[in-house]
Amino acid sequence: MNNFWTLVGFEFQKMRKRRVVIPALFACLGVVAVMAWTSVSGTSFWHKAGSGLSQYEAMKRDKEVILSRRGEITGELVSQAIRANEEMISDDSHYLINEYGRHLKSDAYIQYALPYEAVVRLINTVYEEDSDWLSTGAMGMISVNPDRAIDHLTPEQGQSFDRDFKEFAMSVVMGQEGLSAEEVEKNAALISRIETPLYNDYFGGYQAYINDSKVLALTALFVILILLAPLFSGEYEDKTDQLLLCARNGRETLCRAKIAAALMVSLGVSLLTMGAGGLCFLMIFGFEGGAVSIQVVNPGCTYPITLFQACLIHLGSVVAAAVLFGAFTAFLSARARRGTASAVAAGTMAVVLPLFIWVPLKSSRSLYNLLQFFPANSVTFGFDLHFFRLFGTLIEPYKWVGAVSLLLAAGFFALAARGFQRRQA
Amino acid sequence: MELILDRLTKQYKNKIAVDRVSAVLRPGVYGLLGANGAGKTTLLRMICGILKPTGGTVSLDGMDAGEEGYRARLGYLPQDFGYYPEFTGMDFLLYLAALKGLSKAQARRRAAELLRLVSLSEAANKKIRAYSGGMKQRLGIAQALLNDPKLLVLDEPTAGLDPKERVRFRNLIASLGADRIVLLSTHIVSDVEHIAGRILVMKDGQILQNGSLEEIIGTIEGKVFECVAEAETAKRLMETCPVINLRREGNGVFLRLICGETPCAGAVKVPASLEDLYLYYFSEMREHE
Repeated sequence: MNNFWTLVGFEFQKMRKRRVVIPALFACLGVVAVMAWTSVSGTSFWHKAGSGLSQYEAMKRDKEVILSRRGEITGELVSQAIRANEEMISDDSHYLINEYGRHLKSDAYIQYALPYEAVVRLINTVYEEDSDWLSTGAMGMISVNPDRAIDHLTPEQGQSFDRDFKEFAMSVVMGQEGLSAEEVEKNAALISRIETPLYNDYFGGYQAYINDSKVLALTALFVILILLAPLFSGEYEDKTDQLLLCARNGRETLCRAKIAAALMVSLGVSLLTMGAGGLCFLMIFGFEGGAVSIQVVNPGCTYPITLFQACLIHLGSVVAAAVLFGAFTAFLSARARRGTASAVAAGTMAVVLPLFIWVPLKSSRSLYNLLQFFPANSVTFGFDLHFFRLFGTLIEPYKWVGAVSLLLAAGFFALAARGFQRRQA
Repeated sequence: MELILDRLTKQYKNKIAVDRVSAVLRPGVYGLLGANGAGKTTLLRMICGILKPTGGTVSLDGMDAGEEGYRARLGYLPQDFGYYPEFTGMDFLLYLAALKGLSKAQARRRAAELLRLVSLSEAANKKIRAYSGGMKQRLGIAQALLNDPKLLVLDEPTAGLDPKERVRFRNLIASLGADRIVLLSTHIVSDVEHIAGRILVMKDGQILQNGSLEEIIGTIEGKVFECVAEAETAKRLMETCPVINLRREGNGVFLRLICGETPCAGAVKVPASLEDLYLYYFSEMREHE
């Protein structure tokens, strides 16, 4: 056992001593720093009063306004938002009107719309009659119809918001092509478990994390690729494989040590990158917003969870994807006949190519599901409406992809070890 | 203790690199002599368990080359000795000691001892990439001895060593041969001559000779001649017999050569050496016989 951990320690020593490692780690932290900085860098003209404020100052002022309306999205709050909107759109003095159109002035927006920003977005989505105007991205769903639904509502209609938004969620489920009757039923059951009224708060930190999570995750994967590509192929390049394979602990024990090191790297890099990114965003924007219902961001989501829970689940998905990718990299490394560079090239293709491949669920469920295991897809927020069926039980995508990723990782690690042990001098 | 090679064979597509080699090795120093491409390194790799034979077996006291117990008793210095350039000499030995199953305390003690033995104590904390070729080779020898192996396989161990280092190495190997099997592959005939108790001559994948120095030299005893001949005669002899040594002497040409009968007038029979035998077996003349 002592030798095992000593060998693991030496694997890290080998990694540390490779020239690309320190620059790769710094690049990773650099990406986190740049993403955090760009989220509040520059000048905001939103609060312009003769001069622009910094984005950071503007964010703080917005946050102050939004926090004044934090709490449950009751029928009364929805009615207030509709009333405030009515007041805003009915007075031309709130607009700059010229040959280019009618543009809302910033102070009018700050007074009438900003306090209810998330609620207004929710209202416009839930009451949008034409689903073609619904746009999804990152984890959100919004209506992009310039003819906003809220402009046509009365405050009284806001009182039935809880019922209306659940109906909307159900209509999204019914409109999703390719779902079986059981899946529709399961989604309906999930919707019934959503706690109402929904909870709203300022969630800038969580929003920034959601927006940038894919970039952070892919950065982590590239760092894992750089660190682990030489795991076995480095021995071939350094010509140390012969010495290792003829030593007492040079087969089974050494391979277990390498796999342990690879696992630790995959876990460590993914948690460090996502954790550092999340922490930066929360420190900049504030730690509020964890208790916000996910439906405030995506009213079409059927899962009864909060933003904090969603981000935790996402972190789990990223970690599972990182472990699978680390194992796959180890496998490439063990089989690399043309050196570490070929393992890096193949790993890069595995990350980048699926970004350009899109298979709709309704075209081929099998292919769609298969693509979910590729890192570029498995590091997204997986709260899809379809489920995986296992022995008659429907399983949520994030659970299924996570569990199967770990099983596949075990397989790749085993193949990597076998490839190294069977290597012929 | 016995290392048994039983009809060991390695075939690659159309080439047989090792052809049904059988031998029983007991404690002592064995020199494996052969030209480039004779199959020496292939044979040694199969003995070390890092190359799977196409046929035949290798066993040490009944243990197969693939078993952990076999590897625990093995020390190997490959021809192409690999290392980690950014590791220090000490780090490298500690790593290999862990691979060979030594505890941390044993590893430190043994590594220090071996670094002293191969005169690398002062360079122990320098990175290996800063070592000279000879220093790297000495480090390679040190790592092969870490686990006090009962079977020590050395493939071209004196490559890169200067004459003084080579002599030290010979003395070291000679001292190790008492209670272990040392199998030494080399092109340097004098190394084998001075330290090997038994010599295996290998050609085209087969062991041609297996015996003591006296026994194998005996095959060409009485066939080695020295003479001074005229240029024309010398030219004729060079075309028909393996020539060991040639130099101009006065108006003639001095030749040391191997021939089945007296090659020319004035030729003198001289005692054969291992170098004579090596050149006899691997000269171009023999290729045409």
